[in-house]
Amino acid sequence: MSELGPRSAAIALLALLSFTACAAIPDVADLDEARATYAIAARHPNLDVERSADMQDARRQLRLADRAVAEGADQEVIDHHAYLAKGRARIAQALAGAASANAKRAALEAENADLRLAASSAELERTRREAAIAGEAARRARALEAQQTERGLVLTLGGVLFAFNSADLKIGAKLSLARVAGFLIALPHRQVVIEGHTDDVGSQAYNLALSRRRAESVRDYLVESGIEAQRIVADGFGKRFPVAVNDSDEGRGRNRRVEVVILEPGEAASQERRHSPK
Amino acid sequence: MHGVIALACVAGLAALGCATPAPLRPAALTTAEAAIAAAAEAGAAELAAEPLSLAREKLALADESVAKGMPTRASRLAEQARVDALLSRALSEKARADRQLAETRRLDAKIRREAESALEP
Repeated sequence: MSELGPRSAAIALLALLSFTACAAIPDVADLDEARATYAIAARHPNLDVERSADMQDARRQLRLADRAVAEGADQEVIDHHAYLAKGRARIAQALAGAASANAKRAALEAENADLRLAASSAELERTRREAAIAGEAARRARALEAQQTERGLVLTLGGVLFAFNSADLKIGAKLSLARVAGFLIALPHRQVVIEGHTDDVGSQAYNLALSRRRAESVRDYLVESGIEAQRIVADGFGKRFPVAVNDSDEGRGRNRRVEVVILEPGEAASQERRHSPK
Repeated sequence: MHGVIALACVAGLAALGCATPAPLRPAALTTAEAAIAAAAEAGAAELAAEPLSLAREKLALADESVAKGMPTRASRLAEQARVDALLSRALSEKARADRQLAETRRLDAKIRREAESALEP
């Protein structure tokens, strides 16, 4: 027996055991499980089976377990190598999973950086555009001789807007109103109140009706020019709110007017008008 | 006379036996101990507690085996303890990476919402 190698001895022993049929047939359940764990780990896309030190060691332990089975070694030895093989495969799989999560995170972070850049340049562009619009609005306000008051921006259209005793707009008035419309387009979120006023010639009832019709004419013209109707409220006040003394043609001329009040941002045209006499 | 000498020898050996140092601790136990310490350092107690405590239990069993004069058994247990410790460390790394990825995804959704509204005309 001593002249034979351990391998031959094991084979002899196995042969003997199989003959006697009382053999303790090795339990390879743990070993099979270890092999299955290895196979699952090997399928991980982030795992280089050949280069992973853990997978190499898992393979080595599987071979040792196989040899232990072949040599009829103690169950403890078989299970020991199976345990180490399974552990190593799980380690390899966990590390590959960590690497994969880290790679995904890095890719996402890079994408986010791009998105942030795009968003901030869009923001910048928007700010630039808004500044341009504000500049354009200010330029047009100057052209219309608008007055900033506590009610908002007031554009006074005076002089020869209407023929005597009429609510029909004159050609000159339409030119002025085209500029007003352009101005309102530049300020798309502001509500507008159109107020008609008269001099003190005639009854209050008559003047009230006339001033109302004139304000409505202005409103209709602006709506035709593309301003949303819901942004505009038109009303007439007759002779109640003069801006000059009605004792001369010049004074009465200044009182016959239409005021376009561009309300402060967020103020609604439908609210009760806060008209205060000057 | 011979009997007396023999007796003395036995007595002497017995005395020496009491003074005999503890059985040598196989190197595998020290290696396993280091792996357990490294796993604990990596936060395994929180992120992968099960394999870490398994590693500790096996190392304790390994030490018992050393004391019982079973060095081979002790070495095997220590090798298993080491692999358990390495596994708990790897699982901790995976858990940490998964958490960070989940957090990045949460942030990503937020950034996308913000970017979408910023990129609207």
